[in-house]
Amino acid sequence: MINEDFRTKAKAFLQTNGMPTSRDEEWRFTNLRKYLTDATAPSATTVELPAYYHNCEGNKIVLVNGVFDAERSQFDNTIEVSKTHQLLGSGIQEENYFTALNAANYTDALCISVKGENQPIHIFHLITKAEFVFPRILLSAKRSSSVVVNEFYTTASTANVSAVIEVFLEENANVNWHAIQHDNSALNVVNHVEAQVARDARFQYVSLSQNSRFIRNTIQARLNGENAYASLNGFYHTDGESLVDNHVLIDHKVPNCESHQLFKGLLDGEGTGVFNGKIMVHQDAQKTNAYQSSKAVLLSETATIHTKPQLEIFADDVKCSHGAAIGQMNKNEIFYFMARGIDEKKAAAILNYAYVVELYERVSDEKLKAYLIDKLKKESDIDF
Amino acid sequence: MLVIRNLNVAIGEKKILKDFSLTINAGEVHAIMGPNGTGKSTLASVLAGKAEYEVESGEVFFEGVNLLELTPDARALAGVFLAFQYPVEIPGVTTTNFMKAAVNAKRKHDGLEPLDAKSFLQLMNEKRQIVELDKSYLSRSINEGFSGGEKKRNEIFQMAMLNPKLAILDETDSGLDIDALRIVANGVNSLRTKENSFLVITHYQRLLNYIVPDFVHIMYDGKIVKTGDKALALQMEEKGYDWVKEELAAN
Repeated sequence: MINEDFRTKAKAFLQTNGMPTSRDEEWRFTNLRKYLTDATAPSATTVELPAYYHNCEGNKIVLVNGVFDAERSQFDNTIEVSKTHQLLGSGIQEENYFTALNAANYTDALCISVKGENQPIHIFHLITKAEFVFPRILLSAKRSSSVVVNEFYTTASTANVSAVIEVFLEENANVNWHAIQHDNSALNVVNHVEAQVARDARFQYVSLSQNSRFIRNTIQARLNGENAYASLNGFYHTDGESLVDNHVLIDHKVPNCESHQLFKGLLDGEGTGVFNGKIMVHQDAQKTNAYQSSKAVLLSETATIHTKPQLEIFADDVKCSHGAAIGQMNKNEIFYFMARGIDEKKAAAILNYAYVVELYERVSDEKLKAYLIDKLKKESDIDF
Repeated sequence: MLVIRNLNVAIGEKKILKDFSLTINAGEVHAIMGPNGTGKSTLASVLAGKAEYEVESGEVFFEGVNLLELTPDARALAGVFLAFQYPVEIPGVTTTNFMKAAVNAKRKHDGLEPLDAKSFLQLMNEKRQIVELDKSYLSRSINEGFSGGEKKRNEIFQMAMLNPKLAILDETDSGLDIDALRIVANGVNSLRTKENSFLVITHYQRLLNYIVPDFVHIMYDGKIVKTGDKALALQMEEKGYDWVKEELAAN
């Protein structure tokens, strides 16, 4: 099979390339050694599935340390699930250390093919050990198919994950992918997502990264056919010493495509946020519409944000815009609330909620959205 | 109801209010007029509790309570309301949810249960009609994309919802067209009772044709320099503020 080919190449890559350091432009602000050193930490023996597993409808797939768990997975026969796929490995355009590490080490891939309209696919990652685990997922969305994928991580103790997700959208396909990276204070994850988007196809990605130790999302959408669309979005919240790094790329290769990026951060304690948003418009990609917006609010004196928009435009008839805003809690807004009798703490809670919920609203699975917003309201002490 | 005695307020080195004194009794409407930069809006902000002002000396009592010791939210709960000169836009929070939080904070303070959804909606419907505010505005983010007039109407709507004892209107009329001015003034008039009071800060006499004050004060250089009834406002409009300045210089 073709698979062995990219594995061999990956192994060769690792022979000459070590783990990136801060001298590497793509990892300037993210000290991997600080976060990925604790592989000998004690492991939990069992990890419970999250509550949402029992609440959700549709297809459920459980991966334990990256390996398919047939017993707890259930899906209908409209989706095809296999351990390998002819396209596996071909969705990664440029090898990097972590895509290679994954390719060299994954056990079986989770390959899903969908056609037509589908029930949501929920993927539950359970991590029970501290050594690196390597989930490898491929989604092939056939012509005019549509599917929602919701991904959840759960760990009870130190976990180090290097995940690679390849998404292939054929003509007119629709994929909405939601990465729920919540409530895992011992989770370190390097997540590489690459979508190949064909003509008239639409790819939307939303990551919600909260209360985890270290998250690096590299999200890349390659618009390969005319009238393709990609929307990459994320919310991140860091506190304590946690770090969330979002590296986003939209690659406009052909004319008449549209893309959006919206990333918002809330940084507290000694938390760090990194946002690097790249829009690449090739010379042929005339009539491109590409928009990027990055916002970050610093809640403490010791929180840090590094934000970098990167536009590389080689076509002359395009509309591209980007905005980056970094601020603190707005004192005038707080005062306006207090002048109406709402105390300072409640005012801050409402304003933070309003800021965050914009990203939650982008979750296109109504049931998941309602579940997450309800949870967010409880956590933020919002009673409307 | 409100007693201000010899209030001195500065921002940094700059003194803005200088021995300012004013007493407002229950049921009275006081208007303060004066040229720009004379400290009118500072007075409004200090009464509401905005942080950046430094009160150097003097006292402010509201129903016998030292207002200057209260946080802004405690002042609001005690019954002081400020209609902002420049209401802020707050993306993501609807006016409905904002008012729900405010009304329930007030009810909690008064020892009452939160309003149920139905009663709250009824209250909103009743009060929004006072300022002819369309229902759709309430489910939009606070003031986002509102015109100047809509923002001011929203302020008066919020005032009606919270039913304060003392309402301070900080240049609520500035920049309004005549229709919006009429709507805002009608809103205020419909809320006038024997128990509650208004402090109307304005740059123009025009508003006082609609909201008829019991007292008109002319403020200049950080204090009240002249007090009269509504005739004084007309006189001001006619002669301009230079008249006051000249008179002061002559004395």
